[in-house]
Amino acid sequence: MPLPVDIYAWDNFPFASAVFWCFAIVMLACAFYVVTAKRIFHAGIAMIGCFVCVAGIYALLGAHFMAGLQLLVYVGAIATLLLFAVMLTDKMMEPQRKTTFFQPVLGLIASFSMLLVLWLTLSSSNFAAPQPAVLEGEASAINLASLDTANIGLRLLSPYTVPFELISVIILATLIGAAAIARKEDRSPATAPPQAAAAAVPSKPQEQ
Amino acid sequence: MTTESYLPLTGIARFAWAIPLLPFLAFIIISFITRRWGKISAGVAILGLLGSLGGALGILFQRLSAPQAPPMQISFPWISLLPNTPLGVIELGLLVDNLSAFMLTMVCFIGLCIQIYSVAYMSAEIPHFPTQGSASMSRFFGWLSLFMFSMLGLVLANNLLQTYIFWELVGLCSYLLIGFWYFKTSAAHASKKAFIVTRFGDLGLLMGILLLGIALQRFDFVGITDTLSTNAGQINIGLLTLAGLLIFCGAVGKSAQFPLHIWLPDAMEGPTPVSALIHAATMVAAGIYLVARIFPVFHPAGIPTSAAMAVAFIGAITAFVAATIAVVQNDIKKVLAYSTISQLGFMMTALGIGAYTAGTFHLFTHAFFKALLFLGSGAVIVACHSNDMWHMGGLRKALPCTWFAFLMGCLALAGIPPFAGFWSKDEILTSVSLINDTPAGMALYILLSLATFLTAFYVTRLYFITFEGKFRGMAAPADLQGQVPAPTLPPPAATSLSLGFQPQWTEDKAQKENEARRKAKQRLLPPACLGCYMEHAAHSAHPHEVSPLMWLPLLTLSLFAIGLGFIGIPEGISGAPSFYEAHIYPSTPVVHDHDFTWAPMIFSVAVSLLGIFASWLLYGRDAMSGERKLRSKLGKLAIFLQQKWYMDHIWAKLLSYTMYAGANIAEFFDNYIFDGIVNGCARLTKRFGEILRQEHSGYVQNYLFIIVVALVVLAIAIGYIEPGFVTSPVYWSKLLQLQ
Amino acid sequence: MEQLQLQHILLVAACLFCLGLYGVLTRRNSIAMLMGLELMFNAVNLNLVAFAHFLPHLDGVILAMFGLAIAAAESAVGIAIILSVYRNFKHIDTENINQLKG
Repeated sequence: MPLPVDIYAWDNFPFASAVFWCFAIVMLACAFYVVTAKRIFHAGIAMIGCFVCVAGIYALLGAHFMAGLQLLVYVGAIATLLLFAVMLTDKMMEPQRKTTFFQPVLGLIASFSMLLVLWLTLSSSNFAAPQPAVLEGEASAINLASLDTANIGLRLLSPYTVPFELISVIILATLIGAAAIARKEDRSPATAPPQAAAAAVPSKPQEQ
Repeated sequence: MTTESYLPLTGIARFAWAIPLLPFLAFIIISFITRRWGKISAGVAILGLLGSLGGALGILFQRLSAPQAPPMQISFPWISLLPNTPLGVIELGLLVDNLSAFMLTMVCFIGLCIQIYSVAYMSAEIPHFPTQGSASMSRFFGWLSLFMFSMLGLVLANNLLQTYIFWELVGLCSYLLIGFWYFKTSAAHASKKAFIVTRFGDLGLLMGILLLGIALQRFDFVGITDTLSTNAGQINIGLLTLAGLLIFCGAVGKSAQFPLHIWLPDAMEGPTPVSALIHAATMVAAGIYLVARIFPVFHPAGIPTSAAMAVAFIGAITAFVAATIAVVQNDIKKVLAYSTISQLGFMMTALGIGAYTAGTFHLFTHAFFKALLFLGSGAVIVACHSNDMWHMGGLRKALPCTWFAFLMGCLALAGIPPFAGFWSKDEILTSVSLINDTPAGMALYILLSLATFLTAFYVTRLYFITFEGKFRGMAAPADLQGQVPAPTLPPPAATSLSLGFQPQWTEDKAQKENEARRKAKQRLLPPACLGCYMEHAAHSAHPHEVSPLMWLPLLTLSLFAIGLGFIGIPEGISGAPSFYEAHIYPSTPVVHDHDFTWAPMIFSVAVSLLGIFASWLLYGRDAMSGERKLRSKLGKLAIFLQQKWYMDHIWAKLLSYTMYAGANIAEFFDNYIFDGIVNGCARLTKRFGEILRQEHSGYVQNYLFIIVVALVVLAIAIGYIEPGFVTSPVYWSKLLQLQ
Repeated sequence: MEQLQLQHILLVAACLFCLGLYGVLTRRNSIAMLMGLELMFNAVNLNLVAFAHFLPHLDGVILAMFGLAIAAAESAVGIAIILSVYRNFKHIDTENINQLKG
C-alpha cells in the first residue's frame, strides 16, 4: 500500500519543519509541565528542558550564536539561579498548596483570550510581502541577511554601540541592586546607623 | 358732581406744598440743630405747625367760598418706568378739594393743640425716667413733626401710590412714637405689634392699589372718580370689588377694624399726646380717609358693590366688639382706645352703606372729642401718677378745668344732644335705619344701636370711676385693679422634636436669657421704668390741677366738642342742607336719602340715655361696689371680655401654627431633600470609593489579570477601528466572503 | 508537511507566551511566577529570531540578545526581592503577600 508520504522523495522532505515541530512539541510539553507541576523543583527542571528546546529552534533558524547564548545564559545562569532560589526558600520538595478555585479560572480566561487574539491576528496577517532587506540610506558593510556571529559582532559595535554599553551599565546596576536587596541584615552595633537618626529609626522598618 | 376734571392750584392753594413741608423742616431743624434743647425744639415744632395751620385755614376758606368748584390738583412725574403709558409713571402731586381742606384744618388744629399740651405733659413725665433728659423732649417733638409731615402729605396726596408712600411713613412714625419709652419691653413689643399688624393690612393695600390701577388704568383720585362716573358700565365689577376689598384691608389694618384691631390698645404704651394725635384723631382716620377718597370704587355709579357691604359689616362688628371690651377695662387709656376702635367702626359702616357725608362728618367730630378725651386722660394720669382708674376718683374738685373739658368730651362721645357727637353719630344711625328693610341693614342697625348703648354705658362708667367719689390713690381695691395677662405663644409643634431634632432656640430658653439680662440691667433703671404702669408713690395724698398749658388746649377742644356738631344739622330739622353737607362736595351721588324722620333720632337718644342711666345706677354712688356687681353678674363673660374676646390668643395661635407649619415644611425640605442631595453626593462618592476599594486585593496576580484582560479588550477595540485587524467586521466579511 | 513557515513559529511562540502567562497568573509560589515569566521572555525572543530568519534581517537577533541580557538582569533582581520577602514574611506565598490590600 503506498504511504501517504513518498518516503523516497527525500529531496522535498521538509526537514526543517519536522525538526522544528519536534522541538516545538517538546518545548510546549515542558512549558506545560512548568506551569502545572506540583513540585517547584520539577518545574525548574522542566524549564531547563524548555530552554534547551528553544536553543534548538534557534540553531535551526540559523542564529547559532543566539542558541549558544541561550544555553549559556538561560540554562546556565537563570535556571540555575532559579533553582538555587527554590532551594533557598525552603519549599522545594513540598507540593504546592492548592490555589483558590477561582484563580486558575481567571488565568485560563486571560490566557485563552490572549491566545485567541494573537492567533487571529497572526492568521489574518500577510507575511508574504517582501520586506526591504536594507533600510534606505543605510549602507552596510555587512550582509544583514546572514545571521553569522561575525555579523552580530560587527552590528553590535555599530550601530548598536550605545545599547551595548548601556547593557553593561544595566548589568552593573543589577549587580549592585541585587546584592543590596538580598544582603543579609547586619544588626551589630558597630554598623548601626548614627545616633542622630537613631530616634527616628525604631518606628521605621528595619533599614538595610 | 361735575364732569370737569380739575383745575390747577390757584390762590393760596399754590402754597399747599408748604403745608407738609413746614413740619418736615421743623423735624430737620430739631434733628440737627436744636437736639440738645428740648423746649426750643418744642418751640420749633409748634412754629412749623402754626405755619401749616395758617396755610390750611387759608385753603379751607378758599374752598368754602366756592364749594362746588372742581378739585384743584397739580402733579409732576417722578419716576418714569414706562413713559407715555398711564400706569408706567409714578407721579407726585397735591390734590386740594373740600375733603382735603377739612382734613388739613382738622389735622393741623388738633395737632397744634396737642403739641402745646405735650410741652407741659412731657415736662411732667420725662423726669420720671432718670435716663431721659432734655434730648428726649427734642426726640418727641422731632418725631411728632415728622408725623405731621407724613399725615399732611397723606391728606394732600393726589394718587394712590403717593398715598401708599405716606401711609407707610405714618406707620413708621407711629412705630417710633409708640416705642417712645423704648426701655420698657412692653412699649417695644407694642410698637412692633402695631407696625407688623398694620403691615398685614398694607399687603392687601398694595395689591388692591395695583389691581385698581390695572382695572381703571390710572392711579390718581380725580381720574378714578371721573372714570367711574362716566363709564362705570365698562369696568369689570368683579375686579373692582376685589380691588376695593384689598384696599379696604389696608384700612382695616390702619384704622384698627376687626380683626386687625389688636394693635391699638397696646399702642397706648406711647405717651398720651401720641395716643391722642395718632391713635384717636389722625392716623387711624387715614383708613377712613382712604375709603372716602376711593368712595366711587365701592359705590360705582351709586350702586354699592359687595365690597361696600363687607366694609359696612366689618365696621359694625368692630363697633360692637370694641364697645363690649371697653366695658371691663381698668386702664383709662385702654377704655378710650377701644372707644376709638368702636367709633371708627361707626365711620366705616357709614361709608360702607354709602353715607359719605355722615361718615366723614363723624370723622371730624370724633377727632375733636376723642383728642379731647385723651388729653384729659393724660392730665388725669399726670395728676394721679397712674393709668389705672382704680387709683383715681373724686377728681372733680381737684382738677376743675380738666373735669369740665372731660365732661364735655364724655357727653359728646355718648351722643347726647346738642353735643357734636350726637349730630354725627345720629346721622350715621339714621342712614343705617334707612336700609332697615333688608336683613343685612337690620343687622347693621341692631349692631350699631347696641354699640351706642354700650358706648354711653362705658363712657359714663369711665366718668364716674375717675371723677366722682373719693380719691382712692394707692389704696385701690386689689381685686379690681391690675392689667390683663398677655397671651403666651404656644410651644413649638411636637413634630420637630419627635423627629429627633433638638432646637437650639426655644421660647422659654430665650425668655430665661431675657430674664437674666433684664435682672442684670434692673439695677440701672428705677422700678418705674419696668412694666407698663407708671407706678409711683403719689407726690401728695391729693392730686392737684395741671398746668395751664394742658388745660387750655383741653378747653379749646371742648369748645369744638360742644359746637362742631352744629355745622351738620340734618336737613329735616333745619330745612336746608347742612353747612357740612353743602360744602363737603361728595364726588358721587350719595345713597343717603334726604328723607328725614324723627324716629331714628329719638331712638338713638333714648338708647344713649338708657346707657347713661344704667351706668349711673351701678356706678353713681359707689363705683367699686358697682364694678363688683357688674363683674359678678357677667361672670365668665367678664373674663372673656377682659381677654379681648381672646383675639390676641387666636392671632398668636394662628400665626404660630402657620409659622411652625411653614417651618416644619422648610425643615423637611432642608433636612431630607437639600441635605439629602448634598450629603447624598458625599455618601455616593464614599460608597463608590468603598466599592472600588475592593478591587485592591493586594494580590498581584489579580492585578495582572486585569492588565491582560484590558490588553485584550484594547486589541478588540482597535480591531473595530482598524479594518483588517482581527476583530473588525471588514476582516470577517472578507473571511466569510461576504460583500 | 509543508515548508517551515513564519506563521507556525509565531504561533508556537504565542502558545508558549500564553502558557507563561497562565503560569504567572496562577502559581502560588513566587519563584514559580518567575518561571512563567521566563517562559514569556523566551517566547518573545523566539518571535524575534523567527523574524530575523525570515525577513531576513540581523537586527532581530540583536534585539533578542539584548532582551536576553535584560531578562537575566531582571530575574537576578527578582530573585533578590523574593529572598528579601522570604526573610520578612517567612514564606513566598503570593496569596498571602497582600499587605497592600485596601
